[in-house]
Amino acid sequence: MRNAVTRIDPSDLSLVREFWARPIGDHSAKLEAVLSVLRAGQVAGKYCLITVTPHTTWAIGRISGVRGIAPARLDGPVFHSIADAERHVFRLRWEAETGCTLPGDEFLRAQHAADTCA
Amino acid sequence: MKTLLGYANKIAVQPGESISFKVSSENERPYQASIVRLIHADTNPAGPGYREEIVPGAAWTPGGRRQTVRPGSCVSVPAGTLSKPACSISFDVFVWPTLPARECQVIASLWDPADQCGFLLKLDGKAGFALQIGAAAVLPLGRSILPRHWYRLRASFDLRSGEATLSQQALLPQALLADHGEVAARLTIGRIGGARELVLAARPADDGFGYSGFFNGKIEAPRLCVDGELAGHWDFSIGISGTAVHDTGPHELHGTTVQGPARGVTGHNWDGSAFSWRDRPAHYSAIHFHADDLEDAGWATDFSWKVPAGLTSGLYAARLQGAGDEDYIPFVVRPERGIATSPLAFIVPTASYLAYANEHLALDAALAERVHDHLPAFGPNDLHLAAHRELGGSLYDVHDDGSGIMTSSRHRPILNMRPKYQSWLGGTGSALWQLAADTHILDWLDARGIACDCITDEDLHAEGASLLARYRCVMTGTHAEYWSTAMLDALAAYRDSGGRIMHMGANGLYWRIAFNPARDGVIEVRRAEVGNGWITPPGEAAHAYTGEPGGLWRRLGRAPQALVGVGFVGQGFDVSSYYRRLPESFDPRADFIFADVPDEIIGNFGLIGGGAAGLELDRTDPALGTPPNTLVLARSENHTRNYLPTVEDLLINYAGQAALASVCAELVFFETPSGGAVFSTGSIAWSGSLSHNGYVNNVSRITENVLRRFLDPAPFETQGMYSDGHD
Repeated sequence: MRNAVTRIDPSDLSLVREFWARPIGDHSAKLEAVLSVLRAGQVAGKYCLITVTPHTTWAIGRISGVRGIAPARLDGPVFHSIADAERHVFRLRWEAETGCTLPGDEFLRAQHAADTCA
Repeated sequence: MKTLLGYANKIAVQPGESISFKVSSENERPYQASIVRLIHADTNPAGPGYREEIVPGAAWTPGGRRQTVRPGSCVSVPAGTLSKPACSISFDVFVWPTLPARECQVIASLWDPADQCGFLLKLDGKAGFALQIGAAAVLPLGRSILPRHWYRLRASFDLRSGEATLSQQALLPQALLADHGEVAARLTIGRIGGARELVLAARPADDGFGYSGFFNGKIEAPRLCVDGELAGHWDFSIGISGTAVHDTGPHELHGTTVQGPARGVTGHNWDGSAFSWRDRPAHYSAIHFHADDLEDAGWATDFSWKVPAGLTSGLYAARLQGAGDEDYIPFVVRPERGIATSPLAFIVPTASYLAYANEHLALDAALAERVHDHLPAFGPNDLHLAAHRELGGSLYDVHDDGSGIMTSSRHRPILNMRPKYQSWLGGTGSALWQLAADTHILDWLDARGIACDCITDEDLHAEGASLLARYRCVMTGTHAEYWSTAMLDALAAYRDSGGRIMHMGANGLYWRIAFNPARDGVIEVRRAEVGNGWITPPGEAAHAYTGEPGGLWRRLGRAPQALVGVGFVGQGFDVSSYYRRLPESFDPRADFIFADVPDEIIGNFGLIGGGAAGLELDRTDPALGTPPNTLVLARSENHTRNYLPTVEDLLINYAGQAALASVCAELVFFETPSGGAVFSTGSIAWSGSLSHNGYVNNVSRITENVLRRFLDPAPFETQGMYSDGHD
């Protein structure tokens, strides 16, 4: 259940663009705070990666939280980089948390490039 | 789905000895087995690639059979006089249930599964404690039971009258809770007799193989009377280090533990006046049983191999292939006892492999993703482990009842101690942890044409300093974290007698462990004072196997900084970084280390997170014993915010604490008074950089410079450098 108090400002896409530029690695303190919200919660239902082919392809899965029941691979795309899989999960979580749809990948990448140049 | 799983009876074997392999072929189909030497267990295409070599003349095609794992601990007491027909029975015991809602947990059984006769004292979910006599007569008590509270149970019945009673007394009664009481009834009771054993914490399985109905929690001081006479009174505080269970009664009906339940745990009368079972054994007369305890899968041997004379020491594996699956069972071929075949020894950190064996942290711990700042990735072995809890967990996991897993055994398939295995613990890039990561070192030695003997932690524990004394230099693995006292004594004695140590990883020499004196290949940890995954309960800091206090070596007065110059300061699991040379690297004493290394930046490349400084990091600390002549050659910098200080350094919390922490790796060198020397990398990721650019890079150069000098018997200069100390 979402908190009554909004924990993420859905109109501030600058942190989303920062994540799109570097899903794994150093993040600003503000982005870490957002990630802490998105990654909170019990282990049951948490997203994970399922390695389809080592070093090559990954799928999204969900952890059961039940001993003896393995993570379930979700229907959906197979990713050719862990970074893209991270972006996809970020999108799923952001949209679930805020109720707002994020712009497409290309827009977010381009916008970050514009932010950086500016 | 995995269809092939196996393990070996040994972790180290020498030429002339045999090693046996135990395999389960899930679909009972034949498979091909062969012996391979593992050179480079990393499949990352950015590196040298996976490499193994077939050992000629070692191939089999076993028929394939399915073998199962049946976890669950208990005590078995051969029935002896108890197998005779009896008229009346009474039983008295203290219990501390941890999963009271779970059904069919047997506390004590004198039961003949073939005839379904005898009695069971059990905990049966909502029915509470219950007494069952024969197949159908059940007397439920129906009182409330709180987890982790002590209760005294008394049960009795008389076959002549049919009278049966069962009482429950809470040792810490609660207001408004029906946690005590007694029930009595007249039951139709058949005969008692014919049981082959008295079982505590389980009952004999109906299929005749092993046990079932395992109890979760502590049992203490069971006392059995038959026909009004004391038949047995078992005192678990006697022989805590072993498997024997002592009967103080007149018939000496001694028993044994099965599948390694936890001993040396607090009993109902523990009052905080002692923190070790050695000090007040009477306060430690309980055993903690778990339905998921596993010490030995007990599989039958499918094929064996006699190691041929002259085979090169190294890391090997039995490779199993068939029906779309493969598995590897790694082991070490060590040199023959008393002989060194190379001046260099690599200590394969098999105790640390066991500590992490079959870990489930990312499946069970909600914080795993946040600690690593990226999603955990699970491969086929992880998914199999997740679905097959019967394979047991690691020393980081908890039992079904939430208590920490304190022991780990190699007598079971260990799916994360495998070549090609990628671990979510290993960060980004190759994502390796322990065994596979250590092959970065073995591969580099092979590529550089440097011979090396491989020995294991178990060898070091058993043979001590005499094993190391044969070598001019010894190398540790990337994360040699778990050390028994005998192992640490051996390394210290070696160093102090002029030995040379290359400490190739980080967060080494960290936790004390104890080896099981009764069973090879089984270790125990007590996470006293500081936890990881779980923390030792109050009063249980002393190892059952040895009585030694457990915990961090740093807290036990033997910080790694004093032995190898550096010790654990913090960790991060996203991306690695690099080192920058420091002025001390230009000290003439370090000239040999930096020969042909003009660079100021060291290791800004690598297969583990992209840099040589990453995952877990060590640095110097004079207050913890870093020798005063230590040269800090280089220090890592520019780590991400995810590199956080280790908890034992945090004595209070404050805003911005993490950003101010000095989490970095330090590359150090120092000489010892006896002409030996130590070189420590301070980083788990260091070895992942060795192969960069065809093994031509500054991490490789530095490592080889040090190794070549350390293999040179000429003693290091140690006299007259400083007249009045050194800051």
